[in-house]
Amino acid sequence: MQLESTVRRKGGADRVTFVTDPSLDDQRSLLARASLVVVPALQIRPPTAVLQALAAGVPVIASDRVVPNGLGDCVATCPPTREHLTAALRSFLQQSDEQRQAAARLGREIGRREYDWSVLAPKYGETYQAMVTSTSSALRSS
Amino acid sequence: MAKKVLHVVQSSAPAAGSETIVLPGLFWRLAEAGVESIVLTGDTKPTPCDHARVVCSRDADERASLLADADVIHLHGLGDLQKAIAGKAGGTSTPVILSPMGALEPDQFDRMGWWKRRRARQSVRGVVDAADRLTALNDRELQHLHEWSSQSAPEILGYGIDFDDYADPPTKPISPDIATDQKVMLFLGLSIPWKVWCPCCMRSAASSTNWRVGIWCWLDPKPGTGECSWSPPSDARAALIV
Repeated sequence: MQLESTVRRKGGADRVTFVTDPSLDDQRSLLARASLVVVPALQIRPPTAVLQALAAGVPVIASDRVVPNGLGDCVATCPPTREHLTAALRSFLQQSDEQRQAAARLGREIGRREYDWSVLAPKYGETYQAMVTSTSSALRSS
Repeated sequence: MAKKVLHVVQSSAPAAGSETIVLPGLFWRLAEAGVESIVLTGDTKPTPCDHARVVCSRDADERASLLADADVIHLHGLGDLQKAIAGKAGGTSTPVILSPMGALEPDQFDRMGWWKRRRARQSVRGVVDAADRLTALNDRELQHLHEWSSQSAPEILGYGIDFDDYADPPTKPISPDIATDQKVMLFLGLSIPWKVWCPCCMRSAASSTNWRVGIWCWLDPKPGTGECSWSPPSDARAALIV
């Protein structure tokens, strides 16, 4: 991969590990070893990586395109530009271990409260049910 | 009561990323509530999924039968398969819910030439009009959806994960060369790497001696095959930015 050769050329090969197409178990292993997860998405995408990191108790820096509502207090959010991301990384590196751990704990707590399937799935069930009911009513009235 | 939901996803192969990670959790909870989940994908081979039946049919009759049997059709994303199914669903009384997952973001169209953009917007407009409900991932997407929605007000309905799945991570060493006392900074992304995060992680790698930098890439699946392709940035362009 040319990205790997670029890393080698820049002298970072001994500190950069490329993991492509990891299985779910690999992802969990990686997260368990991580001290920080960075999700610099350029476009709106499902916040899977953000939630996985919060569930694993790892602090997160994420682009504002992927941070779901309600997690602004526990995820360091920035626009997806090089300058903003660099500033967010610098700011994170200046924090103490205690501050990072506190952010991770808060993230896990809020994330579980808002984005665990045990909380969200009933909302899907209600939405589906409301759609069926409204379609049935429309058919009956026509 | 909604007993059978047809979920339409472009691919259920693991390399497809988010949907394949998050949706099994939803299927499990729906199954507990007595709702059956059927997944229609554009793959050539089905990837088994817990708590859902995966179907990879290209047969028009079989697709029509799936649509007719479902109480609700949920389109996850806005690829070719979702567009095709939305077209067919328009002729049925089955309600359709569309979760575009970023596909209606203006950036998606701004990168196209005017003719391609016009055609793309027309084709997407057909899907949006066929949908009885539109859902957004966050406030940012909700704003974009308001511009598209003509029937009902879009609402936020996020995706989740099962937090307990991450309580006891596997101990399998994935990178045995990483010292256990070394801190790891993970960069995750499917997006175009050389635009933003490649230069940042290069700098992090070059400047931090105490941190190990991991780059975790999901690869773009080729539509309909479940196979992966990877278009790396050219050396010249990456070097220019770094």
